[in-house]
Amino acid sequence: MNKESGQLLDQGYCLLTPTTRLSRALQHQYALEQAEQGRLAWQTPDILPWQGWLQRCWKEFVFTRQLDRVLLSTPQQLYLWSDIINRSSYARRLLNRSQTARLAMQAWQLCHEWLIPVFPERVYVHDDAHAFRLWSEEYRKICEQRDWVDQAGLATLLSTQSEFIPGPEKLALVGFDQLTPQQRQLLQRLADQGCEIREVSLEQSNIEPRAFAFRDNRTELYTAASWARTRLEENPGQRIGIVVNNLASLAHEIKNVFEDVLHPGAILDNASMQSYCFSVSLGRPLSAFPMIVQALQLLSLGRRSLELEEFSRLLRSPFIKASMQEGQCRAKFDAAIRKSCEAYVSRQQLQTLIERGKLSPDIVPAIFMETYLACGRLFANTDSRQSPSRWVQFFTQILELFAWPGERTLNSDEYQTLLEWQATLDNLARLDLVTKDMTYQDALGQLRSLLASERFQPETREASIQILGTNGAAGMQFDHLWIMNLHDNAWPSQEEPNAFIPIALQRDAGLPAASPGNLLVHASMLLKRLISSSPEVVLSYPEMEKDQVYQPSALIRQYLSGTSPDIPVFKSYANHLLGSKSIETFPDDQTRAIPEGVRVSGGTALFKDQAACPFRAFARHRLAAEGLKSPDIGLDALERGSIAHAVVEQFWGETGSLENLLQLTATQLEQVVDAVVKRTVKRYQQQLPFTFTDRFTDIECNRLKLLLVELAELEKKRQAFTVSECELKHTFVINDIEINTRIDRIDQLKDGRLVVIDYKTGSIVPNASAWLGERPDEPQLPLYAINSEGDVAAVAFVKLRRGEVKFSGLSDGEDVLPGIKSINASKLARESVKDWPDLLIQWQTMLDSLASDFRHGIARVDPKDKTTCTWCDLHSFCRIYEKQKDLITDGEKE
Amino acid sequence: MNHKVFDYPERQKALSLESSFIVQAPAGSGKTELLIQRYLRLLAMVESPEEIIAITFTRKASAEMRSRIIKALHQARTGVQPEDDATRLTHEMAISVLARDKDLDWQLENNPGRLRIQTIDSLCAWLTRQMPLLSGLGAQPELLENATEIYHQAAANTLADLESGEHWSEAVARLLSHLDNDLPRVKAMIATLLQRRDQWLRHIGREIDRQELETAFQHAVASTLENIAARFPQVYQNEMLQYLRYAASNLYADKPESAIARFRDITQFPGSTATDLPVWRAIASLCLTGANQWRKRVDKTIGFPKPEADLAETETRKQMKDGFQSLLSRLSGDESLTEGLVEIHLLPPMHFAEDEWQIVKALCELLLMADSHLRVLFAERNQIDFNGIMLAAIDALGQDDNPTDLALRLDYRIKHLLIDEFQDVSNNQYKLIEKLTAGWYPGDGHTLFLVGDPMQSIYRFREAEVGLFINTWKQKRLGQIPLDPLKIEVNFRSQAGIVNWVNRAFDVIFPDLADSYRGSVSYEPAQAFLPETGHTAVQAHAVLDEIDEAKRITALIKNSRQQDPDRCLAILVRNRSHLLEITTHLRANNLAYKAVEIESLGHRPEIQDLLALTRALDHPADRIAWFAVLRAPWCGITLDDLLLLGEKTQLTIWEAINAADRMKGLSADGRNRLAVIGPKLQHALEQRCRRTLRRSVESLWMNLGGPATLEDDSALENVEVFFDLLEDFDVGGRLSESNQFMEQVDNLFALPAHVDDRLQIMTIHKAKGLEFDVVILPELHRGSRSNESQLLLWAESPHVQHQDLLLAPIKPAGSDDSPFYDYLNELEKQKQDHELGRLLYVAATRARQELHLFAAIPLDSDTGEYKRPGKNSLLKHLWPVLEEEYKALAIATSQNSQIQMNQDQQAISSGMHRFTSDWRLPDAPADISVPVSFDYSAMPEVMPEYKWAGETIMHIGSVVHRFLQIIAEDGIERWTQDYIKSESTRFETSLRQLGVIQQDIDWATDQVIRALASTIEDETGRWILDMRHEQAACELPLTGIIDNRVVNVILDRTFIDSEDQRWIIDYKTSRHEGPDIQEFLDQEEERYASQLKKYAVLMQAMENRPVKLGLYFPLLGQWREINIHSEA
Ligand code: SF4
Repeated sequence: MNKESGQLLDQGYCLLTPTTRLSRALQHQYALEQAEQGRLAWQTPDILPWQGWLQRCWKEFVFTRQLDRVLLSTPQQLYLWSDIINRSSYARRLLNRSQTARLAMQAWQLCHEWLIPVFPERVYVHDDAHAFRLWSEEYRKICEQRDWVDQAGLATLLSTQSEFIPGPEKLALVGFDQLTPQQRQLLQRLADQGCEIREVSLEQSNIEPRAFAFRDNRTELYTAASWARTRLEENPGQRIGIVVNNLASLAHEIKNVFEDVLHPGAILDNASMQSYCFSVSLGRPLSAFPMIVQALQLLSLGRRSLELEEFSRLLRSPFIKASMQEGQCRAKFDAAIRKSCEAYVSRQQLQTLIERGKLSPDIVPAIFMETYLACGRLFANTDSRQSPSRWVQFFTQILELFAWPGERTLNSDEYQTLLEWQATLDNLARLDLVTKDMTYQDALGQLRSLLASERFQPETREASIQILGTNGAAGMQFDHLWIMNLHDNAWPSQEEPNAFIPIALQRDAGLPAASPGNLLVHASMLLKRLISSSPEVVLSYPEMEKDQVYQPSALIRQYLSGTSPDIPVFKSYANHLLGSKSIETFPDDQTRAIPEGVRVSGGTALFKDQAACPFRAFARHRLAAEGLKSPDIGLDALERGSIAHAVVEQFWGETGSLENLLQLTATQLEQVVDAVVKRTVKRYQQQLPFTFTDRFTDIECNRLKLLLVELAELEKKRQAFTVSECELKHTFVINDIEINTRIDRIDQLKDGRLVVIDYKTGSIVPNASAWLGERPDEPQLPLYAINSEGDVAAVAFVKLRRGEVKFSGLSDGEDVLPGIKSINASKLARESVKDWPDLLIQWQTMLDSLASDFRHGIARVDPKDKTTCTWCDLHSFCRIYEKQKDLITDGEKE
Repeated sequence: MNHKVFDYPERQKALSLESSFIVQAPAGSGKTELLIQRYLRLLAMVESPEEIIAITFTRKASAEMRSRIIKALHQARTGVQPEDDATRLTHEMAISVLARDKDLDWQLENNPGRLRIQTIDSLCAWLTRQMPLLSGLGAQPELLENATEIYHQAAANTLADLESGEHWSEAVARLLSHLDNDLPRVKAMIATLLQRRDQWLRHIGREIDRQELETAFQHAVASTLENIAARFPQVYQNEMLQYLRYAASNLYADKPESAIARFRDITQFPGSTATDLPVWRAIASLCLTGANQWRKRVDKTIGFPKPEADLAETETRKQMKDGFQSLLSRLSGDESLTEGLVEIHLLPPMHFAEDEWQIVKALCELLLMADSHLRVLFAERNQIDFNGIMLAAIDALGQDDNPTDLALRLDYRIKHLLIDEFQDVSNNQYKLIEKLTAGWYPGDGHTLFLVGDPMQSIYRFREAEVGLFINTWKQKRLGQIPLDPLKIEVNFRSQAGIVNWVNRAFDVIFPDLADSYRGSVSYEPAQAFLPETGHTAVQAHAVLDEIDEAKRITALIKNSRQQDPDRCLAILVRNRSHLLEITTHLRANNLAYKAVEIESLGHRPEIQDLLALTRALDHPADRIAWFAVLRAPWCGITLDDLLLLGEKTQLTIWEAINAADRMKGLSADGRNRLAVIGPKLQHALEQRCRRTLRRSVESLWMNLGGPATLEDDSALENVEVFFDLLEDFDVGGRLSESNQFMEQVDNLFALPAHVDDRLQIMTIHKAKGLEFDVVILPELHRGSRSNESQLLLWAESPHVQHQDLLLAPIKPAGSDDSPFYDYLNELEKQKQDHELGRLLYVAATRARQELHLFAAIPLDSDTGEYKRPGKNSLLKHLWPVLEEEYKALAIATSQNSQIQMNQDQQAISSGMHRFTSDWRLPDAPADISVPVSFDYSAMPEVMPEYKWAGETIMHIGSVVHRFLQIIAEDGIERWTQDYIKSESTRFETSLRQLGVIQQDIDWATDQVIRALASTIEDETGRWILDMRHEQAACELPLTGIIDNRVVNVILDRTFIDSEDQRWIIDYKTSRHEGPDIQEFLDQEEERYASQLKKYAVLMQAMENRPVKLGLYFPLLGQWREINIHSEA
């Protein structure tokens, strides 16, 4: 604190600052000085920000005058504005009303600060200003009627009543760059009343600053952080300022970079609650804090069904009851739900699934379920309209139920966040004053917008390095100062005038944003003042960011030296680590064999995977490496397939043979189809209640009927057959691997031979080549064929898609199936297979070898071809990309 | 400009401020310089610089233009007169701008933001900010670069309307049946359309009229038929008719359903109205086979039966058959006729089928709903996309007949508009310009200046509509503003060798006529300014395969470096995926390059590892991610050990790790490794959500030693890119929208290295506007994926007076019959094909000295001939020019490198990389140490339970405090019971001012009265409030330092009693009902003792006097003294 301020305090002056930040800094400096003089306690000096002072004056004023007038809080004001706008004729056209209310309120504030009357009749206004005029009139009227005072007009009101302001007759202003006319007016009145008003002059230094260009913001920040580190290493007691133009756009990055440079070890601590030697003066909206995000989710659970993703987040939240204890269980529960559910989850459906054993009891998190169900009951009455304060009570109940914010011990930041949350609830409750009863949704909406609008920053230790925005640095003094991000696009700032106030009025009043000229003056003044606030000043700008190229602000050009700064750049922890690398490489592509005599079982997918890529088979079938499903709306390809399968199965179950089919009249066929489809769909309807809504069910039935009829027409063209089995389970053993599989259908021809059929519902149906070679894509039918007791006359795919139903495959002899050629005539098979018996032998060999590879633990990362990996989800596990890279680089070395 | 240049007069004219212009400026013609000169000239005469708005295509272009202008001003100030003529003009203009600047005190150099040079997107955003109400946006919402997730959500909401029972539910149902009830697919399709809603909204915003729509198609058909009819040689028309009649009558007998059979009696050769289409169809199918080849065989199937000997009409049959055959052979040579006949099959019929029409209607209805769902979502989230802003800006500018007066809101009037890259404007951008210039009249001092090169229109995928340039040029006006068309044609960039080659080649490649409907432009030759250099200007290279190509390109680059190390080279591709082999080879040969958005990060091991880590942290049951974490180099668990860990599938992997101690068979090394990472994972899991998501993941990654698994520092930068993305998906410290996150990871690109600008790699699109000494175009033979089908196709066809709208719905599932859709789809393909030719032009004209064209020319194994290039390839366009050359080269290539062909695929490496077992995490560099400063953070000694009790109680306390202060300061004498009661409104007011809600007011006031009354009754109370104490104070603020924590306290009441003891008294307005009051007071005492002792400590630090402490309970009239020495 400079001498003058100290002296003024001693003389009983009250120090007023433009920002809370500066008040705090002065208090801190005062404390330091006291401590230096060996004092441990003292009467708190009267230093406070302008706004705080106004509030204090107001309180005294109404108290002594015994006025029954209420000063509106900002949320109350905002509510009024929103309400007025919502009721106005403009409401319907506006995309975002609450933000518009904010903008209007800001305009109102500006008009007061700059003493712009809203708007005299003689001023011709455009449509937007006209609307604002109407709203303002309404606002003013309401305030007058209810005798409310609003924050914008407070200073003006006081200045008309200034003789009643008690308190210090001595005021000292510190660090005000520019007083608004409203402030000047009030101060003038006070002076007229005999109040002594002084302005504290700040220390000035006259050192020429240096300016540098950096590649981008990150480099700029990193160098500044390194510089600060060096300065502190030289002399730990110094005050260092980093002023960042457009602080908000860089806030995250700043924090990370400074932490990495000044506290490189801090990254290892995931809780990170140590005290830093730097502080960034920029709050985040309360609604961005994890704890609060969670609270909001809990409050919006409601009675409705939840989107699966939302439910899943809730399950895995660390901020609710028993989150550690049940954590793993909840994750498994979630994974299971994803498999058996739809895009939405309801309480009722969960209960049904649990009762029916579809979700196995050992993965059901009991505490969670109990809480979740109880919460549903609490929400039962949310139809009513209540006052905001009652809603606040309701919200509190919900949170208590979930034991929010959880069981972890809160750290200081979290504790402060909690306090701020409570304060926000208070604010919400206080809306009682300006509103009537509201719905649950409205109350929640109000809470949301309160949380989103309040920027909050937990208090910490007073840090050596202060990172501030250009305005936040008002009145601050440093030993070293770095001002950054001064590129020509942002300095002078490109701030735009408030669109609700006619530009001419703004210009006349002299608002900075009213003209580029004003902004330039403002910027150079600010920069000059900043430069004089420290004996060492560095200025900088980034040359580019993303695809934008920047020039230095003209205001710093004169200081640019063109040389690079002689600042040692700190070597980061990550770089240290990189240097410590010690990697070994050894082959690991085969694992323990499955001991002889031990049976393993699986489906045909095992062979399919082994053929596609041995690692995939290993991962999926020996490690159960499964990804998480995330259901979409409607039926996915798998479900669509399965329902089509089911319908066709039922149909043939009913019909039995071609003869029977041919005997059906058109109407009879329709009846059969109808019945079959209805029956099947019903089953699915129970399973997937969210998907199978009434209309959806109709459409789906229709789709299936068309499909079935189309298939029936195709089958009519075949030679006589009877269906010998549909969707029957078969178990084959190959190399002690037990394969359980369903064969879609097996028909028997007149000559007793069999036709084995596989339905495919995808858009691309494999052709016969999917059965050929050592690594076939579709080993299922070969598996059956070599194990079949009867002679197989053909293996075939049926494409089950509307408008595209057809057979494809291989047959032993001509004309077994429409559209399928005999193996000897097939162009595909001709090259590799002699005849049908040969095919069977090849299949036997192929399957044996796949089975034996699997048994022997062959787990090579060896995708069959370029497309194999495309639909596989194991990339990060098998490390295929790394291996491909190795391949290329090794190849080059040769 | 140099007056020696050939087009000097045009360039001069373009600077005239008397009129408005549309300028066609081909590649390398110094377009930007021209724009700058005009801008400067305008600056020298306007009242304020904001009156001029220049619109560029990219932000980068804006920045460049602005900085060039500022530089010109700067140079003008420093006064160095440039040598060459070209820049001298600029210099002179800049001098006059300086004068103006000085006169009007603009300070442009200090305030370059005043130069309104911006992209159309930022112009729109700016406009909407000026007009919050007119734009309908209100305050500006957050602008989303990528709104995919919202589109999907809106689409899902639209489909959910299936059951809402609204009148559009029917439309949803209809569409779903149409598309096989495939919800996910339909949803995705709606989402895609929402992204492009700027395109269709204005079409379907109003009721679509069936007849109007059909008429539009009929117009389109007519104009095509007109073309074809003109091509059919008149001399053969009658002959053709004769054969048609003959074939028709034959078919009428055989196959009466045949489309030809109808025309047995036709006498009139078809004209060019849509009703003539069936005849044309018949003619076309007589002439061409299904594969669009001229018929070689004329037979029964088309109505020409075999002349069999024993029949009477044999002769006729023979005559007709031979005659028709001969006609065919005469016609078949005519390429343009062939094209025409082929096109006939694609023309749609006169009318929509009823079903089709219903779908059109349903679709339009549904899309409008989707748009309103989207708006609702935008409003809820306070976000918007670029299109939303653009549409809002257009809205804000008012109706055509009633434009918004912008000048009222700005401090100036927009008087001049300069628009760069006009060939790439979209329909909406065009509309916006129209509206901005509404109310301008010729000669009133406003000017419009449009510059572009239709030959370089390559942004169709961003809705660029080259037809707009063509039409504007033809009509010589935009909206109400007449434009002077100007062509400049001198190319300052490329040596004559290149310019001449380009002139020759593209004259062939581009169509002869510009056609705005089909999006084609014709070629305009350029004049070389620079002479020919010694280099071979354009060279074709035929390669075997990608590897061969990569090797040759590497050699080429090395060679070029040897000749002249300073030359700047570029490899330009259509698609990034074409580059993998080349970049690998370049790296292997230590050729540094700068690649802008080329190298995909998603496939890098370090990114995959981080992805696994992120997922594992996010979800304990994501087995794949957890296995991946265990398999990554920082852990490196062997397959054998993994088998043990993964065996019990009912456990999560984390549970298995924790059970590892008890696991038999685990290797010792594996056990150690798990023991190392276990605690690190544990820490990360326990402390979830305490930091930002990015930092959480980074924290674990650092703990595991992530950076030590990286290849080099460049990988560290890649990691940074990943982390930045992670920040975008952080909601409350957790990953949100994980699916979308994964998708975006796949779209991440490595940052360009900052090493060497002499070799650059980028896409042709990115290279637009740039130039290089040597340009290499690899993989010209590659095609691209064809378009996916879209719910709705649309096109606009220019008709005499107005624009005709053409709309067609997607085909129904399982059907091929959708002539309207097919027609528009084909039209779209044609447009894209034309654009592909232009893309080639852009690529070729980047070169200053050399252009290299690489392509693989494969042999067809069946025919033994070289294959024709694929449909979608750039090579296809080059083929007419370079076919012979490529074939010759291909022969040479294959002979030279027969041996090389045998490059077998190598087996993928089996190696696993991992830390050696002795690797340990090195300590972090030391923290900076500074003297510990005072702590200001609030942290209670005992954590209170979370509870919101409302504030009334607290407010009662404050009011009681406040009045106790007054009583103490006023003197207690005045305060009698009656007086207190009479003051009740004052209490009430005070309570209300603090925010006590109405329903609590009476009760609260009562409490205040009770508290004050019992205090003044009470002996102790009176003593406390006594005025006569020494150094008495109320609400005294103190600050002090305790345990290095700064504490601020306010003492309710303090004084020195007669025995020189300092009293510190705290008021507690606690309430208590019930008998055991002493017990309650005990509790209170215990609760507040430490707080009071703190006060004592502070006081003792200030004065040297014994301190006494007390709690006073006004509501209860109770008093407790607290023993300062008691343990608590
Ligand atoms: S991603 Fe490819 S290599 Fe990896 S397991 Fe799947 S198929 Fe095999």
